[in-house]
Amino acid sequence: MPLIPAALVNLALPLTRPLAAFLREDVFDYYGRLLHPQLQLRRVFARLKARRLEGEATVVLTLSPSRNWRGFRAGQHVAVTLEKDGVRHTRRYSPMRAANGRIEIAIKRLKEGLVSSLLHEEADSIGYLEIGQAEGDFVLPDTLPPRLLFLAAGSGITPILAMLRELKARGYQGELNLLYYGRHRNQMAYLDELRAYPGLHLHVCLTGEQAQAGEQAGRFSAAQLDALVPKAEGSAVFACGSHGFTEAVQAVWQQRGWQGLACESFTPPTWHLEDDKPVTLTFARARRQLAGRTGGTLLEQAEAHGLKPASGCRMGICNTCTCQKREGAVRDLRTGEISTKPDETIRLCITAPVGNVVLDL
Amino acid sequence: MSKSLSLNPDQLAAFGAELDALRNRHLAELGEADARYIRRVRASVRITELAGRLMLFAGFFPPTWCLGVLLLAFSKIVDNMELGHNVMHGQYDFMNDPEFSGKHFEWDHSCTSDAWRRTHNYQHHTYTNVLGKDHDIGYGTVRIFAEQRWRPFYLLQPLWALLQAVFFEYAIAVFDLKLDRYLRGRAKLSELKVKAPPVLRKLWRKFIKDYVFFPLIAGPHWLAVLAGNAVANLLRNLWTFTVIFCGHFTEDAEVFPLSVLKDETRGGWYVRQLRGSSNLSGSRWLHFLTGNLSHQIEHHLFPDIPARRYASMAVEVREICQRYGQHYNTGSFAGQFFTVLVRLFRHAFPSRPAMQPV
Repeated sequence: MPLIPAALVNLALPLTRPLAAFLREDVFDYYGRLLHPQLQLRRVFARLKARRLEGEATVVLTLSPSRNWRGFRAGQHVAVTLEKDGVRHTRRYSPMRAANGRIEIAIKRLKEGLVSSLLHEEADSIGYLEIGQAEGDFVLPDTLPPRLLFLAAGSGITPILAMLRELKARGYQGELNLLYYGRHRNQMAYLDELRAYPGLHLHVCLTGEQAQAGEQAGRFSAAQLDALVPKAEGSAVFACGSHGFTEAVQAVWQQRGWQGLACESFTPPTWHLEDDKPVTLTFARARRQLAGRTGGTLLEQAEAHGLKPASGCRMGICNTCTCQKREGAVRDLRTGEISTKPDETIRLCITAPVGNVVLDL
Repeated sequence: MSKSLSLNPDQLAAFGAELDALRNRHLAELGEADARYIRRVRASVRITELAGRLMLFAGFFPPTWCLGVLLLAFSKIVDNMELGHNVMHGQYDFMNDPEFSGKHFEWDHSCTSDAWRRTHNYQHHTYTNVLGKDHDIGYGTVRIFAEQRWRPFYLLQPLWALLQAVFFEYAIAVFDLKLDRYLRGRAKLSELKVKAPPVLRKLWRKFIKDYVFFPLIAGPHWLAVLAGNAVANLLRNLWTFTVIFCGHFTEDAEVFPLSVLKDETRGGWYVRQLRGSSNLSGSRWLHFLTGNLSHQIEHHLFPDIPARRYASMAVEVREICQRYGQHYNTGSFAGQFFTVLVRLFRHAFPSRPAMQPV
């Protein structure tokens, strides 16, 4: 039970800013959270306000972030962090505007998905969740084009729906098309809201069961696109879904030489057990992509390409080369264990990629 | 002369494999219990610091002043040893918690965490007790081993060691700058201009905090707070100095020539860590207050495994050492420290290494 009310804390948060120059953040945060979970110098904790089901497999959480949160543009994503067995796990979700300055995130339940299962099963026991600042450039332009086409597959609907809510709030008058793909009708989230959206041409496309009246069947194809949206050329297009889905969309746009396509995909990491397979190593902060191979340590491979990440003992003891892996599959060379977790701490000198890897370096 | 058998390459590999297996078993177990433990350690640091400082605000009233000093010294000792030193080794990186991240942790000590991570985590832990590589051998001020070259400067080394003990945090803070190289003209002053500012900034910050800010807000009791902070810092310095000097400078601790590093295997590295380190036996409180550096051997074998596990790992390490004929250097705190003092006085004068068996 917090010792001081949330309203007071959020009133006070902007006033704590100047303290950052004098105080150690972790010391302030330690005492702060004894008083209220949101009383933190920079970190953002959001109060879980409500929880409901959308479709059969998606849970929607309504969150009220502290004033440390700088807001978001529709289509961006935030890191959501949960602790399980002493280890913090981070996943990214697209926030959507909700009433009273709150936000919504939709979490589709994944088979063996640790965070999604926790958010489905134990959401009631969660008072506050840590979220990060919004990131990403999959967003609507400032001046809106006359025609917008959205392509969404599965939980790729969430950044799209965030944009649709934004468009409604901005009073958008142009033409709106949405092709929404899903395997089963009753697992597709937000169908009711989309059907009731004024002026939206919604095309529900089912890939895993028979289509009924008003629905389409089959995966995305050029022919289907032409049949459903004859004026697709020249529209500003936003596509979000699995990697395979956005690749199929990109292929059509490329083949026809059309412009104006923005894509975002969530890719489950893949890996090869054999050594010496080609992979891509991305150094996100340095904005560099290197051609790597499985089996060799990340440190040696980065150095072979002329990068100089901080390093020391080269045997996994001194902790100098520790960094965050944003995504991808890697193997710990000491234990042989493979990890595909996003946002985890690794040491470059004892970690080898087994698939494409994105590092926070 | 070494009390341990020398191992052939196959034995070395087997010895290393057993220790690796022990380490991997503990790595696989990391979780809830370790996270809860380090959070409690942090809570004890924060709460005793707050309580200690509040008590010092009550002025020179002896019961509160003494208790305040002890609480503050306890807080600083635990912050530096069980919390800071261990977290900065990355022992709790598995939690993915930014407040326990080895790379970003900051401690209540005049030494910048970045300098510490470089000199201690990297140089000292990788090149432990290798002459010319591990500057922690005598910290540049004392001659502890016959293998170190004698200079007349060392004649007064019991005095240097005493000064170092009293000002230990400052000694550690400027240690990385290696000032003697500038005095002897071996390094350019321009290099110092780059390296010194962060060190001076941290020294200044710590100084302002304990000797200006807290005395000022104490108002009329400023002197009690100032004196209390000074005594708490002194107690922390003497304690950490004593514990750390027992880690590698005891009678049976060994040093190694640079040549051991050539083609050193994982097993060879383990053996060097073992022979260069020494343990202290004692109660759970001793282990806690030394930040588990009383398990210096286990700490050097497994610097990135949470230190709370060293006590249970020690049982197996000892058993493995026995089977391979390796001396396990341990003893009481007083006994081990006495052998350090013997070395300190003996090697102040010229001495020669004992002949190695052929």
